Amino acid sequence: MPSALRLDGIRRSFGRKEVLRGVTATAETGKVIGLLGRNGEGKSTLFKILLDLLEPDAGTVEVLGERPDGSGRLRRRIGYVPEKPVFHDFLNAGEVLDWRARFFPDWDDARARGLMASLKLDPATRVRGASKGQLAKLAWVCATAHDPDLLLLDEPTSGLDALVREEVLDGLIGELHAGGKTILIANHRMEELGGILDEVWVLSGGVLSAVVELERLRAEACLVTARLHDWSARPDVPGAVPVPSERPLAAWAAFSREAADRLAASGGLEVVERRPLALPEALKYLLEDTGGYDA
Amino acid sequence: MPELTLAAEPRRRALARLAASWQAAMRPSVLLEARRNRLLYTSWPIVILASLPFSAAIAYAAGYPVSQGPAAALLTWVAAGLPLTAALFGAVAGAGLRGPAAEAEAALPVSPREQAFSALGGAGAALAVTSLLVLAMTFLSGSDGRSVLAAVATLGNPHDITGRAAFAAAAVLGLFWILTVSFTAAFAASHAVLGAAAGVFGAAAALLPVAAGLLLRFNHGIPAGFIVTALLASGLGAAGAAASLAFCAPRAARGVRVRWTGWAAAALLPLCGALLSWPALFTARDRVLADSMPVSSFPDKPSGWSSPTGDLRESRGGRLTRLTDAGELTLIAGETPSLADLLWGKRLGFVGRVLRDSTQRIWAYVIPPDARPRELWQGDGKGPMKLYMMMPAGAHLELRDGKAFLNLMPYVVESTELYPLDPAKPPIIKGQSAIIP
Repeated sequence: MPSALRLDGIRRSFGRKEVLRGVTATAETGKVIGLLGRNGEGKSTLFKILLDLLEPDAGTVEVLGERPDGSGRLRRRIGYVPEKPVFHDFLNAGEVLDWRARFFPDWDDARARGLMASLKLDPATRVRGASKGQLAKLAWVCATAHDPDLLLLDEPTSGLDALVREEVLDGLIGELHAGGKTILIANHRMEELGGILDEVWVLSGGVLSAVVELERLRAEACLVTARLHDWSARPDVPGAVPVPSERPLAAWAAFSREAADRLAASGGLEVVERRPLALPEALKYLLEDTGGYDA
Repeated sequence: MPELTLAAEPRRRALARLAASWQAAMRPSVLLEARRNRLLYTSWPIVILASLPFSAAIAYAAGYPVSQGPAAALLTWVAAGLPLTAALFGAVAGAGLRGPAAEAEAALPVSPREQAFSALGGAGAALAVTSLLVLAMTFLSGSDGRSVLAAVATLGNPHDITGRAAFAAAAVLGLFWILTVSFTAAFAASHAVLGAAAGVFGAAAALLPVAAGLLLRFNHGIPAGFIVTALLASGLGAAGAAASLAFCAPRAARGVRVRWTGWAAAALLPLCGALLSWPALFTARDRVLADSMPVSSFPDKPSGWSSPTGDLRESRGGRLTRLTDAGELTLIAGETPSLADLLWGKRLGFVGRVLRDSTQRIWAYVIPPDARPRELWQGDGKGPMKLYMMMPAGAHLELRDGKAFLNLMPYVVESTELYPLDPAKPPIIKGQSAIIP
């Protein structure tokens, strides 16, 4: 299957702060990928590079088989939901869609209006004075009405109430996924996306520290508890991260069976328990791990 | 002709690309710019219209004819208001592309360059409409206004030898220049006030020498037109500002790293008109200073009619030269006037009277620009002349029977106060009489 995204050694700094320090990754077409990272780790910077809004200092980017060239043409094939959607405040929701339609040759007005109705967004809603949730809904309509091949979703459920969030997650993203779209989602509540994600990319320290298949994580992630003979010689195993525990017991979150086995086989400890980790917990520990491995 | 075919094909492709870009990205962007700043573009002409009854009321209150108020207001709008409008529209449109608007339009499939030039085009269209409105109102306001607009009416007339057509073209280019500089500066700085200030001061830096050059032309009637410089300066300034925008827009919007030399070049590009206009002003000054006219030499009394000497010429500042086979020979250097003296039309020193006696000796007096006494110079015409004496007030230089005389009472028909001038010994003046040493 061809790659929808190909990143090789992407670097980008702002002033003296180097935000991305060599991001390398490949996303297959049709995959739904969760981008996991703490605040300020460069998720939005990475999105801007993929959107051809920002030029990397180094490295190569290929999006949907094209190199971003600054022309903006690539954005005809990308749908983008920003973390904080901004629209011209002198327009109403319907006018926002009318203006967008002028720029996108493949804009499907019927689809846009239909989506608006299903999200219960009134076209007469003024942008000035619209709630966070209304702006988020409008961003969703704008991002999907031109039938993009790639969706970049930066905190896409931020501001949505529980009902709409469910509709968006289960309905809209699922429908897009089923349509073969590639989706990259950054979300602080990654567990709510658990059902639709294929992969998780962990962005930490300016690099992708882990690329994890979600099914495998769900099946193999476990908490390993062991008695340590010597605390100063606590083993360091790739794919496992130490977690808080009460002495004399030590605990690790292992994100794959191999990692758990390697941990158990390392000398100086005696495994007393090995229990499966729930996905939210596994994702939380994954975010803490900066070891750098693929699972 | 295969070469022609090869050359035509890329041109066709380039035009097709441009047309596609216009249709897909620039046209909607121009419309979006018009919509984005609709309030400014519609309210500004209303402000102009509202100034007319206001100015009429001021004229009425001050006791002037009511019609003079709107006429004065419109002339102010033409002379100063339109350049300020260009700065305002450019700065607001340029700064408006950054900040919230940039975020709102981030996902649109338009390049930063297309976006910037479309917004500039939208602001330019609004400026054109506002300018036409002001010009139409000025035309309709009466004969005063029409005479001002005569310059615009002659635009494109090849028989217009006054240069008004070119001046009007330079004015139009100048407006576009201010618009583009303001837009670019506001875009680069993300600040409308900074952009407007840069537009006004940047354009002024280049347009002031143009205006000064025009003033020199009108004050001193130098033969070649400074108008061409005005046209080139305005045109180059506008083109340089557009090139700067083309350089800055994609780099600023996409955070592309640029060396300081790149930014410096971008800052200097809009000023390339100034780089032309300042040297042109000094060249014009030199031309004014070098410009000379034949000096008339006075023959013997009583005929008294002057006639051109042919080889003697006078320049501004009291400089006297003689044309020889070897070139121009300076006889009296005079005082070179400053540029400010030339611009403000200050009274300059000049050669008052030139005589050639029977020995071909040249006598000339120079009248200084201030209250200093006149200087009488003499020489054989083969080298620089020597200061002979300071002439008494009211005295005249006369030629009688081929000899030079100083007449202390020139307005008395049979003056007895005539003193022959000996090149070796100037007379000593004591009150109203002279003593021949």
